[in-house]
Amino acid sequence: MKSKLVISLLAILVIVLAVFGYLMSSKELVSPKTFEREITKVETVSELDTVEDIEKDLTETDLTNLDAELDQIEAQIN
Amino acid sequence: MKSLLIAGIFLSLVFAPNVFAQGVGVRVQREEKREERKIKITAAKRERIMSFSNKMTIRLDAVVERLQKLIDRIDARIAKIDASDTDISTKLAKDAVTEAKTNLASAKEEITIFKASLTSIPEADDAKMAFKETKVSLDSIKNKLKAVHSALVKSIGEIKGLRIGATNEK
Repeated sequence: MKSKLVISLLAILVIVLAVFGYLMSSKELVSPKTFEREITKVETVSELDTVEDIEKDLTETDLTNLDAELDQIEAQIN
Repeated sequence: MKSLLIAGIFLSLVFAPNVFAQGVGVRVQREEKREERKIKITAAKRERIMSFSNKMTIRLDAVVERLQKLIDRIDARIAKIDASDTDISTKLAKDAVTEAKTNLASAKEEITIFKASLTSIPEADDAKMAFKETKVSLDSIKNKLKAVHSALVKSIGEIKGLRIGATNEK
């Protein structure tokens, strides 16, 4: 009886881990709030036109992850 | 015994086609279910592709908007410098801003085409090929946006090189 219970619990654990692993690999667990925060950061710039303020916003302009989702799209196609 | 054998043959002749037909029916149903499942998987993938595509286009739009605001602010700064002292030449700074504007306009056009091609990937006959083309298009957009950024950095460098006093900054 006990061994059946242990086996059932192990089976549930394996299923939960598999689902979690799948979601992590497909990055579906990335919170929409994280993306919203990223976009808000991109959209936030000073209104001032002093050289220092413009230069600061230029420095903070990140163009490195414009294609962040491209690999994920490719994974869905393949 | 003989009559039993004949009856057996007769019955098998009557029922065999039905059993065969049922077998075929079950097989067809199984095939249909398999196809349905395939379509469902495709639909799920399509949904994910659309979700990722939306994120990318939202980010691109946000970056374009940010660069446009930076262009406007540099334009405003140059206009103030011109208004404060007509002897100072802001030509090089203006040239860099013009370069940035040209690249941004081009990037915007490419983004419009990119968005359309991105949404057509799941429907394309050859999704892999469509994806490859979209990737090339995105690379071009990225290069244009980087060129905009570089031109703006150059422009602000030119403005700094003018060595205007802090009083002119306001």
